[in-house]
Amino acid sequence: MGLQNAINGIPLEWYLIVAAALFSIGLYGVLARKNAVAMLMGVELMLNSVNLNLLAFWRYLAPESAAGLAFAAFVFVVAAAETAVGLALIIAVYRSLKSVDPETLTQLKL
Amino acid sequence: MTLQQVIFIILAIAVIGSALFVVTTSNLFRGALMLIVAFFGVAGFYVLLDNGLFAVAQVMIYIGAISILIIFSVMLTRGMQAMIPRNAQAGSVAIAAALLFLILLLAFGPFRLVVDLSGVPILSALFRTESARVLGGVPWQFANREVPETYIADFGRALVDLNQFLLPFLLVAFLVDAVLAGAIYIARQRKPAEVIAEREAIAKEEAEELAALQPQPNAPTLPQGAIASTADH
Amino acid sequence: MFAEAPVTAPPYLATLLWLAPLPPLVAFALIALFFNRYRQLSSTIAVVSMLASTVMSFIVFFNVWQLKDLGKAPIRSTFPWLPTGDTVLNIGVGVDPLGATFLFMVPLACSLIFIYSTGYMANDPYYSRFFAYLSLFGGSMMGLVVSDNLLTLFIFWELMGFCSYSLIGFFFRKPSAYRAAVKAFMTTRVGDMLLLLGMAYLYTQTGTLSFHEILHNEEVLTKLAETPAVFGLSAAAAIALLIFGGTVGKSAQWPLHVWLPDAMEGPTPVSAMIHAATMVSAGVFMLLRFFPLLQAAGEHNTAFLVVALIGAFTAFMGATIAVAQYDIKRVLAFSTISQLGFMVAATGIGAYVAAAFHLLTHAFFKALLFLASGSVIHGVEHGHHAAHAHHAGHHGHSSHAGHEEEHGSEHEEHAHDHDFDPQDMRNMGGLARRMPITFATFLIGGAALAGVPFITAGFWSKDEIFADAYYHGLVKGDGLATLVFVLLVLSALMTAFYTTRQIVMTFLGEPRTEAAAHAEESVPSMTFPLIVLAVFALFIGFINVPKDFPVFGALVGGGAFWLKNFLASMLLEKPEAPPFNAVPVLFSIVVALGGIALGYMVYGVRPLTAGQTDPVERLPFFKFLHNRWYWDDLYRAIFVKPMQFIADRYSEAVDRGVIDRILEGGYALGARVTKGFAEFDRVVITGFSDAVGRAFRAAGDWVRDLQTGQVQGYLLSSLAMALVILIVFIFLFQ
Repeated sequence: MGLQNAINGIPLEWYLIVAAALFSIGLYGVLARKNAVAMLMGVELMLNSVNLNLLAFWRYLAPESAAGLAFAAFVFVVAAAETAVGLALIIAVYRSLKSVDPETLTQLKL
Repeated sequence: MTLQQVIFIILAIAVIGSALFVVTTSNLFRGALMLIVAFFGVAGFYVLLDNGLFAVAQVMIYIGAISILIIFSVMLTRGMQAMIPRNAQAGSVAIAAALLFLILLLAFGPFRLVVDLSGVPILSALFRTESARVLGGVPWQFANREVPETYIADFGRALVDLNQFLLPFLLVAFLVDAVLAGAIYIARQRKPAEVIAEREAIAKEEAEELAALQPQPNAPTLPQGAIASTADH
Repeated sequence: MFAEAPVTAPPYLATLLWLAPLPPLVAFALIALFFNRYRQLSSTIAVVSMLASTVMSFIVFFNVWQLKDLGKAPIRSTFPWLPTGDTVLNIGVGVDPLGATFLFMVPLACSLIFIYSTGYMANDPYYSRFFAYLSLFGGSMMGLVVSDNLLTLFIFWELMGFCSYSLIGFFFRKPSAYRAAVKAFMTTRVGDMLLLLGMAYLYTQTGTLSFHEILHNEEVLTKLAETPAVFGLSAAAAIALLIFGGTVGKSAQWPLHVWLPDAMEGPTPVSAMIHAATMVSAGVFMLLRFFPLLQAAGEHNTAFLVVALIGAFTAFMGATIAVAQYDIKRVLAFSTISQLGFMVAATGIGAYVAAAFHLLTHAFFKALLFLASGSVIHGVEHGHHAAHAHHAGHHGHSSHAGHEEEHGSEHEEHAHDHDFDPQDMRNMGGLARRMPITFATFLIGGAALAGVPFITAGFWSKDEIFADAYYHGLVKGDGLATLVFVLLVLSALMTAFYTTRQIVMTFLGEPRTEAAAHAEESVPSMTFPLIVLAVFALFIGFINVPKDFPVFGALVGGGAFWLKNFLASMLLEKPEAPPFNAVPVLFSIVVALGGIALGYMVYGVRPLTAGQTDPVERLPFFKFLHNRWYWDDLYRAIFVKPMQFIADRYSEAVDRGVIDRILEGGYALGARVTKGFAEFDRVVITGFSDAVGRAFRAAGDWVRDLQTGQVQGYLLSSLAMALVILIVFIFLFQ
C-alpha cells in the first residue's frame, strides 16, 4: 500500500470527497425539488454523508474512542425520528390540501 | 490498485450516481428505489471502514425502516405519477451546491493549494492577509491503529456511562418516544364529522375574536378631559 | 444583635442555592401540564412553592448576613457546561452580599404578591394559567438572583421577558392589552440585544462570564480598562455601556421607558411583580453587579457620564409626567420610572450602596403601592357594580353576584364597562372611610415614596443618594454630580407632590361617583400582604442608617450602616464614603415636606368635587406632560409607522407584478412616509425626515422581495450566506 496513512489503501480524503459530493447532492434535492417527500429524501442523503464523515474520521483519527460512533448513532436515531414526523406531517398536509408542493404551503404567511 | 480501492471506486460511483438520480427523477417511486441503492452503497463504505456494526445498522434502519416509510408515503401521496422534478430556483441551487462541493473539495481535499493574496491590492487590505494561506491537504493527526476488537462493547458501555453519553442517550430515547406518539397523532385518519366539528369551532372562535376587535364606543362620561389609555395609540 | 464572633457559613448553603429557584419553576410545570383545570389546587401549588422558595432563601440569608468577607469569597457552586474551544464555560449558582440582600427581598415580595393574587384574581376564568405564569416569573427572578454568571442571568432575564409578555397581555381579548404586551416585549428586546453584544464582547475579552472571576479580579479589570475599544472608550467602558443597554430596556430608562406605562394593562398583581419585585429590579441589579467594571474604566469616564445623565434625566422626566396622569396605576408607573432613574443616577455618580439601598426599599413600598391601588380598583369596580345593580332596580346590594359576573366577563367582553374607568382617580374620592385598611397602607406606601422624614424607608434611601450626590457635586466640585443632585431634588419635590395629589384624589374628600360611594374593603387575602408590606415600607430603612446621623445613628447603635458594611466586600476599590452633612438631609426633608404641603394646599384644603377640573390642567404645559412628553408619538412616527408601512406594502406586493409594484409602491410609500413624518414634524422638529424616509424606503424595497413565504427560498438564502461565511473563513482567515 503505497499511500501513507491509508487504510486498506484508501486515503481519508477519498471518503471526504464522496461525503462532500453526497452532501451537495442532498442539498440540491432539499432546495430544488417540488415535492416534500423528495425534499425529505434529500435530507436523508445529507444525513448519510454526515455519518460517512463521522465514521471515516473515527476510523482514521480515533478508532479507540466511542465518541464518533456515538454521534453517528445519534444521527441514525434523529434521522429516523425526523423521517417519521416529516412523513406524518406530509401525509396530514396532503389530506387537507391535496398537495405536497412546499411552495403551496404558505398558510402561515399573512 | 488494491482490491479495496477498486471496491471503493465502484461504491462511490454507485452512491453518487444513484443519489443524482434520486434528486433529478420525475418518478418518485423509482427515486425511492434508487435511494435504497445509495443507502446500500454507504453501508458498503462502513464495511470498508472496518465497522460492521454500523453497516448492519445502516441496512436495518435506513433500508429496513426509513426507505420503506418513504416508499409508503410516495404511494400515499400519489408521488408515483410523473411530476415536475424541480422548482423555479433549481438553477441557482445547482450552482450553489456545486460551489459548496468545490469549496469543500479545495478546503479538505488531497491537493495542497497555496493562496497568496498579499499582492492583490483590495483583498489584501480587506482581509489583512500578510502571508499565504494553505488550502487542502489538511495535516490530520492519524492514529494509525487498528480498530480494537472490543469496539462494539466499548461503544455500548460509552452509551450508558454517566460520564460519557448516558444523558444524550436518554434524551434520544425520550425523543423517539415523543416522535412515535406525535407521528401517530399527526397522521391519524379522522372521521369526517370530527374534522367538520373542529373547523366549525375554529371558525366560531375567529368570528368571536373579530367581534372583540371591533372598535367600541369609549366616551368618558365623567369630567371631560383626556383620559389616558393605551387603546388610542 | 451584631455579634462580632466570626461566623462561617454551613456547607449546605450551596445546595440550598441550587434548590431555591426550583419550587416555583416546578410549580409552573405542574400547573401548566397537569392541574390547569383545578383552580384551587393551582393557586395553592403556586403559593406553597413560592413560600418554600422563601424559606430556603431566608435560611441562606440568615446564615450569611453577618459575614464580613462574603464578597471576597462568595459561596459558589459551579460545573462545566459548554466547552468552547480552549476554554470551558462554567455555570453555577452563588451568593454574594448583593445577591443575599435580594434573596431576602425578592421571595418575600413575590410570596406576598402571590397571596394577594389569590384574592385579586379569584373570579378570573384563566385563574390557573395566571398562577402558572406567575410562578414562572417568580422562579425566573430567583434564578436570576442566584446566578453566578452572566449567561444564566441572561437566560432567566429572557424568561422574565417572556413572562412579562404573557402576563401584560393576560386579558388577551382586549386589544390594548395585547398591544401593550407586544410593545413591552419588543422594546425590552432592543436593550437585550445590546446586553447580548456586551456579553459576547466580555466573553471574548476574558474567556469567562462568572461575576466573581471578572468583577472581583484586579488583573482582569485592569486588562479590560487598558484594552482600547471604539470611540476612545476602553473595553471596560464599552462593555459596561452595552450591559447598561440591557438595564435601560429592563428598568425602563429613557429612551426605552415607553413600555412600562403600557404594561399597566396587565392585572394589578402583575404590575406589582414587574415594577417592584422582579423585572425592573433585575435591570438595576445587573447594573450594580457590573459596577466594578464601571469603576475600572476610571472615575470620570464616558460610561459613568452616560449612566448618570440617563438616570437623572429619567428621574426628572418620570416625575413630571406622573404629575399629570389620572389613572391611579399610571401615576405609579411613572413614579417607578422616576425612582429607577434615581437608582441609575446614583450608580452613575458612584453611589453604589445608595443605589442598592434605594432599590431594596423601593421594591417594598412600590409593591405595597401597586397592591393597594389594585385593592382600590377592586373596591371601585365592586362599588360600580353595586351602584349599577341598585339603579337598575335589582335588589339592593346584590353586589357579589354582579361583581363576579363582571370579573368573569373581563375575558369575554374585552373591557368591563366602556363608559366607566375604575382606575381613573377622578372617579374616586372619599375612599378612606369605605376602605380603611387600604387607605392606611396606601398612606404608608405613599409616605415612603414621598420620603417623609425619619419614619419611612424611602426617606433613608433617598437621603443616602442625596448625600452622595451632594458630597461629590457641591463639596468636591464635580459638575456632573451637581447636575444630578439638582435634578434629583426637583424630582423628589414633584414625587412628594404627585403622591399627595394621588392620595387626596383617591381617598379624601367626598366620593365623586356612585361607584366610589359604594366601594367596599377587599378580602383578607388581599389586605394581609398590604399590612406586611407596610411594615417593611416603614422599617426596612433602618438597615442602613448613617452612623453619625443625629439621634437615629445612636439609636440603631452597631446596626448603623449594616448594608454598607455588608456590601463593602463586593468592591475591590471602595468608593469614597461621604461624611455626614446636614445640608442634603435638610434638602430631602424640605422637598419631601414641601411637596406634600404643596400638594395638600392644592388638593387637600378644598378637595375636588364631581365634574370639577383638576388644577394641574391649568398648567401651561399640562398637555405635554399628560401625553408623556410625546415620546410614544415620536417613536410611533419614526419606528412603528414606517415598519407597518413596509409590512403593508409587502403584503400587497406579493400579489402584484414586480414592476407595477415598484412604480406604484414608490409613490404610495413616499406619501405614507411623509404623512408619518408630518406627525413627527408637528410634534418635535423638522429636518431629519427626508433622510430617514429615504433610508426606510430603500430598506423597504429591499426587504419586500426577500419575504416570499417559500421555505426553499429561505433555505437558499441561508445557504448563500453560509457559502459566503465559508469562503471568508476557509480561504481568507483559516
